[in-house]
Amino acid sequence: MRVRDVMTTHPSVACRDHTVARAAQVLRDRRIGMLPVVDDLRAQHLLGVLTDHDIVVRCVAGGHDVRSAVGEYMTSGPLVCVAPDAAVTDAVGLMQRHRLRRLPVVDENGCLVGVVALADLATRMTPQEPDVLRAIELRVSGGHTVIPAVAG
Amino acid sequence: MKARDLMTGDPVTITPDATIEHAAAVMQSRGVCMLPVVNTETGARLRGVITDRDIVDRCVAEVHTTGCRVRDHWTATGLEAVHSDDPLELVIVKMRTGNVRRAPVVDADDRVVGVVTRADLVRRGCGGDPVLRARILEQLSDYSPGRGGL
Repeated sequence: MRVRDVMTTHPSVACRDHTVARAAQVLRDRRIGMLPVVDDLRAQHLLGVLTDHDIVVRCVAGGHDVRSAVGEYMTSGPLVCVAPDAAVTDAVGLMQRHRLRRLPVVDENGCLVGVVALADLATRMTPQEPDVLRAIELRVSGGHTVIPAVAG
Repeated sequence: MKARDLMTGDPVTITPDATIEHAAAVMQSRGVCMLPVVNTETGARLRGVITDRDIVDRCVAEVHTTGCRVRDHWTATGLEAVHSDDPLELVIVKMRTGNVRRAPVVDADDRVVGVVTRADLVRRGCGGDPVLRARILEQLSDYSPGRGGL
């Protein structure tokens, strides 16, 4: 099973110069937690990703205007991405290693072609497949933020 | 195994009067995405919770630029609040019913004594027993599409 078989194609995206408020509206209306950020809606060259948590801890917590640009708050730099031809097992491994629930899928030119989410694996594959079982475990026990244990 | 054995104690909380900006700063500094909301006048009794998602959906998406308080955007706690003496099975049911990843834990006086996550249920609930671990995972799993909680 390849990533392209289970990914969401034509995912919702944000442009670097969109406002944070606009990105938040998309997250809310589409009931998603992460938006790939692209330079241009046509070319879809991936620049970064923006999550609901990023908006809160980078923009709101800093007292910044929610009408400022997405590009200031996105995660850029070395992004965790996966190729459409990668095995689903590899995608799950990346999610596990980096504690992520969703990965942008990019082609060899760095252009966005989809998003693969743990939720996709559980709903689009048969539960008996080992990758899916790992994904389910990750969905239950993983998370981008786990409250650290308090000593004593 | 009771909720008190599964939870992480000494949770960081917030009051309804705190600004949204302050709540977000606390989430950032403590590395959490949910804060129990308590009334300090009534001895830290649980009133509700506020999550990063609440702030995004109800404050940022609505372009509220300044002056919002936790009381404007929180979610009041219903009957699904986890009690410290709830057994593991009941905690699982409550978290599934509420479709939440993490929940505040209260004592008999409704005072917040901890926070429990689905990960806690898996890690601490099985006591190292792989069979029990698999069963808890199964109980916490939910295949229904479109449910964002899991």
